[in-house]
Amino acid sequence: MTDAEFCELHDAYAVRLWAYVFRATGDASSAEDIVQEAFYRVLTARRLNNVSEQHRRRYLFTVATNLIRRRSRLRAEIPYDDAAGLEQPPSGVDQRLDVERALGGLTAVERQSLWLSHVEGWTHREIAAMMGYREGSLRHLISRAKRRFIAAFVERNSSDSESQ
Amino acid sequence: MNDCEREAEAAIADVASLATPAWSRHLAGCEACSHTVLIRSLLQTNAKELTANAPPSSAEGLLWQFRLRRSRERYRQVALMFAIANVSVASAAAALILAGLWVALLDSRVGSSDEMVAVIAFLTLLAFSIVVAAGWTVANPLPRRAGRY
Repeated sequence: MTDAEFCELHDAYAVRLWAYVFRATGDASSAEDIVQEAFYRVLTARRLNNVSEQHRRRYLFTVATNLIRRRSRLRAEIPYDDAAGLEQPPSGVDQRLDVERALGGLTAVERQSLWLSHVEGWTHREIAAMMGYREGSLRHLISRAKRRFIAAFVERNSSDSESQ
Repeated sequence: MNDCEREAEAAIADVASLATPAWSRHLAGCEACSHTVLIRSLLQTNAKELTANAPPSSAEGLLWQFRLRRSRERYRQVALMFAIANVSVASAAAALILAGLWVALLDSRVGSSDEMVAVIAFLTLLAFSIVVAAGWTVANPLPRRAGRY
């Protein structure tokens, strides 16, 4: 992989990968470390020399997913913090906070699968391969994550409107 | 909320195709797909806000760190080879010195054989400790992980 190809890949996906890892871990510092390590592994992976950008992107997200899993095994007791390490959002962004709190109510794998399917646009088959699940199990996981997310989001919005 | 076979399609369909009459009709009657579209919209908005706040990261910086890390690994490999060579030379030197001492002690015929054995055992242990210490020092010239690469 040439330096120019690496720079192109980095510019296209570094921020998106960071957002994914940050949403999965809830920790900005860990997200930075994981993104850096994922790109480092892209540089050291010789089999990525003559492959498409899509293949490299999949490799990048798979490595990050594995690193997130390893981190959560090592630091299982640390709770998800939906705004850790980020500047406080300006006032009037209730929806963002509602989304973050609804995501905070999910497990790490539920957040990952939801993000990969709804933000990154991966298919269930691709996500299942990345996360090491069977496609059927992944579909069930995403379905459950969606139910829980919607329930938490609707609950927050209804409680907000009642209080006003 | 019941599952729908078009959910996966709804999750990746673009906004223009979701605005077609066929999709609009389906979304009006399918809670699962409408939730999928809602979640996607919420998460993508959230992703845009997050990426605006993402910490800066430069590809050049990463490349520089990669080269630094790789040169450290190479240096460590070279250092290990030097350590092996040094230990081999030191062992040969220690063996020669011990052989010389052994011969000198045998020639002097001073003291009992028990004393000679004790002196030789002590010298052997001393030489072995020096060789191991030298090898360890040379084989570990750098910390395994000096902070973040």
